[in-house]
Amino acid sequence: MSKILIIDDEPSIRELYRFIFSDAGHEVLLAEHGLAALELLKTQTPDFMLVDVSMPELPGDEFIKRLAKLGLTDPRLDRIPFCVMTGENFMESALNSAFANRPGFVCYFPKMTVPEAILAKAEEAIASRGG
Amino acid sequence: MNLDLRLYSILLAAGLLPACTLGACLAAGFGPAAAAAAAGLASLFAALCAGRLIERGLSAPVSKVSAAVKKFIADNYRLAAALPKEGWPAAAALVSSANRLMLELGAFRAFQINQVVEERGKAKALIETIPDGALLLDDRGGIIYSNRTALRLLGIPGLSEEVSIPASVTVTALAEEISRMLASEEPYLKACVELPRPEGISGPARTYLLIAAQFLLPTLKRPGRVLILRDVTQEMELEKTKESFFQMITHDMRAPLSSIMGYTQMLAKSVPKTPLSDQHIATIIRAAGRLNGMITDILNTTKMERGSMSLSPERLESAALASRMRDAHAPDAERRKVSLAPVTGDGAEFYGDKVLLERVLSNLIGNAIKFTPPGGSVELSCGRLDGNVLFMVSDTGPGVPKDKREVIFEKYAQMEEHSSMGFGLGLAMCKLAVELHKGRIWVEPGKGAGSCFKLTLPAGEKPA
Repeated sequence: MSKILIIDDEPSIRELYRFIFSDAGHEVLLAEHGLAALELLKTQTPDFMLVDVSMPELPGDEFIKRLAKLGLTDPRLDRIPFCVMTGENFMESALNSAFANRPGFVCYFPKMTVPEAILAKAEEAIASRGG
Repeated sequence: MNLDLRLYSILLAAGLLPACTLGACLAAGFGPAAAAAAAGLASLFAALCAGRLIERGLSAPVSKVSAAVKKFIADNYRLAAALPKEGWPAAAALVSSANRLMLELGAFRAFQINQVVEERGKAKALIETIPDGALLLDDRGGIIYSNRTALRLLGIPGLSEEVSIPASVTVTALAEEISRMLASEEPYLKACVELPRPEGISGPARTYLLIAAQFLLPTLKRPGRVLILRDVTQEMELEKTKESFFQMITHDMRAPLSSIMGYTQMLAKSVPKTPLSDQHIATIIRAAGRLNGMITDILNTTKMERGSMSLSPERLESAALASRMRDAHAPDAERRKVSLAPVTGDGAEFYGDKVLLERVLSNLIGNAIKFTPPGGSVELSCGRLDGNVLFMVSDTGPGVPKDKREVIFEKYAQMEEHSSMGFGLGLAMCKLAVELHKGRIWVEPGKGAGSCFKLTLPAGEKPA
């Protein structure tokens, strides 16, 4: 059973993906923004993360940047595979903020992609990491 | 075990139990009454057990799903918590599907609402920041959207269901013009409206440019209008100042220029002729002539724009007119090493203002020579087009890009690379003059990369 962290400020989206991933047999962790996710990562080590771009407190790109720095000194947090999820309005800024260069980046998903597609990608990423 | 099999098994067991009880009692020696009573009790027991099993496995989960869906709708499509998966596999699958459906619907709805709110916020931020008044109207004049500037300019205190355009516009001049625009079928309209200052406020009148453009929102299915109100008072003032300045300069320049030309011509007759003095005098006369032409163009343009230009039509012949102007420009073409062939094609008779049309052709031929590099050529031809008299001036110069072919006929419009080569009034004057004759002027691509300027003028009888 793998651990999947979902970071999104919209509660209904967090609930939807918690339902999908736990139904598939995974343990699901939730965080409503980047700061909450960093707090959670002090005690938890997810095998995969689904990261929203536009969030209050700490948006997705800043969260990934900070996580990459933490990963330099804490191997537990190094190269955790993640997918970026974003509404169309932010797709361009998501592409431009160089998520692709961050360790662990798997791919982008536009928001409201069929959840099974994200689940399949997550399981593939976990399997190839040896999780 | 699938649902049907499970149900049938329960019912079968419930049905068999009383019968088995009856049989067992009779076999054990109980009397018929006692056996029947035992069978009855067994029936009751079987019914209760079957009912309980079906209730727990099927009807309870289904009822919970039904209640959850009702609550989901009542709570504005929010699912507080997913239902636990319970009951038989078929019921559990139904619970799971219902959970999925409600969660996905809730997430989709939240996402779409966020998108709409975001787009609205962006549009509002942009529209409230621009200095122009902007309105979106439906086909009945109802306001779909308006920024605060528009409401202020139209004298509308605030938005409400009763507000409509133009009925609610309290500024009379604007109401009249907007009425006219909304009644028109034209997809794009522009008009200037002058508004006096409100009573008690000093200052000049304000001038507003109104733009009305049709649009079609997919959801409306009927065309609405975008209405823009722009304060162009300063631009109009600047335009007037520029015109007055030009007029003043050109009037003041005319007198000394006349002296230069006159005395130079007298000098040509009185000084001893040498090749050098002839060349110098010819240069002075030519330059003065060009300057005089430019001043004439400026004055003509101003007169035509004001509507104070009156034509002096006389009978003209197109080939003769074109040849005369070609000959006048031949020395300039030779000096610039540009070939200027004799006029080709068939001439035709028409009525026109000779002096004005000479200026038009002079501008076109002069431009063609000016913008054609040495070694190139300029050609003039005459003909007929759709019953009208046609003049054509084509060159082997750099040509006019497609997106500039309309704008070069506007005042002060020039191609960027030609900005140091004149005021940008020549073609504007040509267009005004040709249209005053009820003709048309335009530019097309010429041979190779060059241009071909064409103009048509009505042939036939003298205009009334």
